[in-house]
Amino acid sequence: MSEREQRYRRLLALYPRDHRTQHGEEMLDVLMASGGDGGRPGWKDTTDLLWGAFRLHLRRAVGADGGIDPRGVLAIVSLLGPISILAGATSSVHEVAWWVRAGALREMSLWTHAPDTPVWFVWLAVAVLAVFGRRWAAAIGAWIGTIGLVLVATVSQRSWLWAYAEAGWVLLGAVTAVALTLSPGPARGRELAGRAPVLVMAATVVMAAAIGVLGHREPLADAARLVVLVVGAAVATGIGARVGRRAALVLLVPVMTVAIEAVVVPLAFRPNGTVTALIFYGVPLVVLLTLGGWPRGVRREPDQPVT
Amino acid sequence: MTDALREPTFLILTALAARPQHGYGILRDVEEISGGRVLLRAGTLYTALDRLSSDGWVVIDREEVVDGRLRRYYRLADQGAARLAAEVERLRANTRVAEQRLRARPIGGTA
Repeated sequence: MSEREQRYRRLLALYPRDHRTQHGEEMLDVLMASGGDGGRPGWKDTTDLLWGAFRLHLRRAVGADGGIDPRGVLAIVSLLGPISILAGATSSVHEVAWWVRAGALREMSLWTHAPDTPVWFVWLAVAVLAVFGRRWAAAIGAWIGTIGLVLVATVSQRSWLWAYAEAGWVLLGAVTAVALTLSPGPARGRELAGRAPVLVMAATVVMAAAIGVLGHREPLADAARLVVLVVGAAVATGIGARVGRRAALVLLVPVMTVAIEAVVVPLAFRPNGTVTALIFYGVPLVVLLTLGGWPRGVRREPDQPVT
Repeated sequence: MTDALREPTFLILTALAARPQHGYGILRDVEEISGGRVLLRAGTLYTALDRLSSDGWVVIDREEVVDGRLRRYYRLADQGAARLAAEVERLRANTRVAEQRLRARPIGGTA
């Protein structure tokens, strides 16, 4: 292999994987045929290849190529969403644990201190149903769970919390309910996701909850919890594939709202309830739509498309 | 009303209008069509093909193995042909108006 071919191959390695698989050798042939006899690629070819790789990555990041089956993304979410959402119970688990340690559990008012507790039991049941393939029962449970989260976010004594970072759990619940209702279901999700997706996601939730409970309101623990959630979602969904990356983005909506809170709160910006809801519920939705996290339809043409 | 095609896109579609071509063939044809003015490179060509294929304007026609190497031929899909025809008509209308205005221009220009 000549030095020039080696250098071209290194540049082509920067392209998106699906593009390399489809066009890598073909591009190499074209480059070798048109690149002259020099020992290394010219700067114009190098710049052109780098720019091309950047544009193709960007197109895939924003989902502009329409090359993702939205039903596949939703299938993965239908399997892993019910498990992932259980990490939202961390605050309530911490609250209950505090009352247990104080030996005053009987004095604890569920409605005041952890009004979302019953909802997490619903989601636990949904997760079990989804994992064991009881898709329609899981879908019904997910809608009930979502309504429960909406009620907690609007009428409970701790609803103010849910206008901020906790909004992500409401959004994830709603998307999961949609996924369980409309997608091919958790069984298909298991085929498309990464290795041992249920085990990885369950371990992620347990680890994130443990960090959140033991390091409650500790900045370092909060950061570690987010890292665990991100890495766990990435591994469980299988980010090696585009459909997995899109599903991971959907599962990470709660992380998105935490990030928004980290930006908004230090600004001493105190908007009214409507604006707050628009920020914490609207922005993640817009991000999902614009970054392709909310899957777009795949264009179906009579002719076979190239990619 | 559709946006005007960028020149590389217009030339790639034109190169594929009459017959299917492989990647290197498209590069050479674009150079010829443009009178040597536009020299496409592989990165630009395949980025454009990626977009044109996802838009359904260009499709794979066939694949051949030449000297142990895969050679893939692309052709213009019906949708791409319609878009190219619309662009030709747009350019033709602009050109017609430009010619009329130039004919109406006073000899020697205006003061």
